[in-house]
Amino acid sequence: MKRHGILIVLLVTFIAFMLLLTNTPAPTQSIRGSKPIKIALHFSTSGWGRSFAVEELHGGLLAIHQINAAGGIYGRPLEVVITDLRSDYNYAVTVAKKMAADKEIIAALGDGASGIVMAMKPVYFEAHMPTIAPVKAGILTKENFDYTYRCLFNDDWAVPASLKLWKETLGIKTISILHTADAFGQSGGDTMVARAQEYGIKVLSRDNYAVTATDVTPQLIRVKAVSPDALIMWGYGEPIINAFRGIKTIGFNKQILGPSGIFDANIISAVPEQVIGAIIADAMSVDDPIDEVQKKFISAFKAMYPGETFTVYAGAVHDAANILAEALKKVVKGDESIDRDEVKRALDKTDYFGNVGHFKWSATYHEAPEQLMLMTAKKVGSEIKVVRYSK
Amino acid sequence: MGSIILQIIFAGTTIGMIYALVALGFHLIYKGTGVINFAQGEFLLLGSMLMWFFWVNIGFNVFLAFLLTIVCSTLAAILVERVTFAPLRNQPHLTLIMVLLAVAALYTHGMLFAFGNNPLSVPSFLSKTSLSIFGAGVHSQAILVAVIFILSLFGVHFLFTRTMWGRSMVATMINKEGAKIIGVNVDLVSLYAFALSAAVSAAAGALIAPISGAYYARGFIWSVKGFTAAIVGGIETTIGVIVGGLLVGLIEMFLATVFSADLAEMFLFIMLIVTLWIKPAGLLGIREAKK
Repeated sequence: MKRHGILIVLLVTFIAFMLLLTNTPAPTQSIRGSKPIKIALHFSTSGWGRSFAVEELHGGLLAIHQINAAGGIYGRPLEVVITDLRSDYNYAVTVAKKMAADKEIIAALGDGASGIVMAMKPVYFEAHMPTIAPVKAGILTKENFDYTYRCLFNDDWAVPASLKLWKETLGIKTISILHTADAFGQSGGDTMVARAQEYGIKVLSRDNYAVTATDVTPQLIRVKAVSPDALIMWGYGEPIINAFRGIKTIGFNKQILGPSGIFDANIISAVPEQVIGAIIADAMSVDDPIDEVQKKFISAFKAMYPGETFTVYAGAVHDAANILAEALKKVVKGDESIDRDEVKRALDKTDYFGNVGHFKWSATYHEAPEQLMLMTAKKVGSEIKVVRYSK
Repeated sequence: MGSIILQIIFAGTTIGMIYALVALGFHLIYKGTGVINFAQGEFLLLGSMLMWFFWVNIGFNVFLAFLLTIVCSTLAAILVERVTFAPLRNQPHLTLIMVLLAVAALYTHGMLFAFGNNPLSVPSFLSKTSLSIFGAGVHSQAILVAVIFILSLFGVHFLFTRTMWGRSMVATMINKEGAKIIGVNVDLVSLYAFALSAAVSAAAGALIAPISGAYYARGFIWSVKGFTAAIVGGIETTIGVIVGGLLVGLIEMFLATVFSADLAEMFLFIMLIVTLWIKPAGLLGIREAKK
């Protein structure tokens, strides 16, 4: 009986101890704070690279608004330092140096232009500042990418995947490539030329244009002369508007293909009739979402920025901000200062389902999910909608 | 192949007409003041920007927007001439050129301030955006550019051959002091030259906006191309700048299409240097260029 009594006491003590442990939150969660956590949101909202910058900024701001509305990171609100990078490489480096020097800023989101991010990358590498960018150029994660993360798919994967889709779905056999003369365009053009043959596609011509070009007529005349099944316009920005106009002017009536850059809001509003029928390969369609995550994001974006046109780029930066918040939850301890390297290590363990797919990062893998589908511009009533392509 | 050659000719002629209109602006101010106006490209770009402002941004009727663009650009040039150029007219040429370079920078930054750092898009004036001629396409806006081009050509020719104003401008260019002695008001001639040059450039700028868009920083490149056209053709003759513009446009389009855009640019500047070296008065120049 006495032995039973001892056992009961031990059992009760054990249960009480376990209950105590269960009710004790994890060390990082036990201490709540109030000091804002600063993050940089820098995008080229003006200049030639502005195509998606405003929606990218707003995608990030929406996520931060949602995170802060839900109590921030254990009580600490996210505070953003917004800067326009002006589509200017030198200015972007100056901004990066300023951000890096401010020890309170623990991470950065942006830019959306490959060349700009590449220009800022050495500064952030030196400063151990984690950066997440909606950038597709393969070169971004080729070397020294310890602190650089990608929230949109890598073109080294996407270009061959797009070629495969175009071949299988559209039966394209010959192509001409017209790309921007920057990191994004060069990288896409190189990969297409190197990989097209694998998919039974012949590259008939390849040309480029400066992102500040006023006229791409000579390049388009050359394309018309070789008469490909499709013209791939691997670019973005103002010259795409001129290219679409030029295509119509010179009477080139073959299939137009490209990345989502050719369907930005400025382009669609400037040349609405010309974009109809063009096909892109991308991860998300605002007019035709594929899952609940996308639907939820699209509806929140529309509620916060009514009337604003947006695309996958806004979704990708929304993902980036949420991924960063998840990482911060693993490192924040009350109002203590946050170590950028700790944030980086937490980002390296990312496992997150977002608008552009399932992110799974490690110390050596900083790529975005490989999610791709064909989409086309269609006239629905008086509006141009970008919807999933079907024959 | 035939339609490709025709395409190069159409595209080259379109861009050539624009260069010729910029060159015509250089020609007018040169005739009226004897000075090269390096803000000429900015005069044209202001036309593109104002067309966007009045038509796309405010929503005026296209004809009203076009007229307002010309009026405002002309007034801006008059203001510039009175405030910056006129007080220094008797200074050495180098001073005047420096002043006009400063005016170019002023225009550029003024447009950046007023219209922002974003490229602006202007729709075509005509509902049908392109026409097909023997299998080659032409931007419908190019037809309007051609109309203004022909009107400007005959207008300027008429000015210099049939009016006292034009003759006064020629006299001022040849010998300013002599012109004063025979009763020419050189002060007024300079003012007319700036006003007329700005009006022609603004009309051209408004018309090309649907083809090339409008971006605050593009004035310099228009100036350089227009200057090349004026020097190659001969800045002192109306027909010279017109031929120079068309020649530069066609050569540029041909080389850019057959070889590359970079090579075309290089060739144009080589052509400029060679012209200054071999025939400084230009292909159709009537006498040696003034030093």
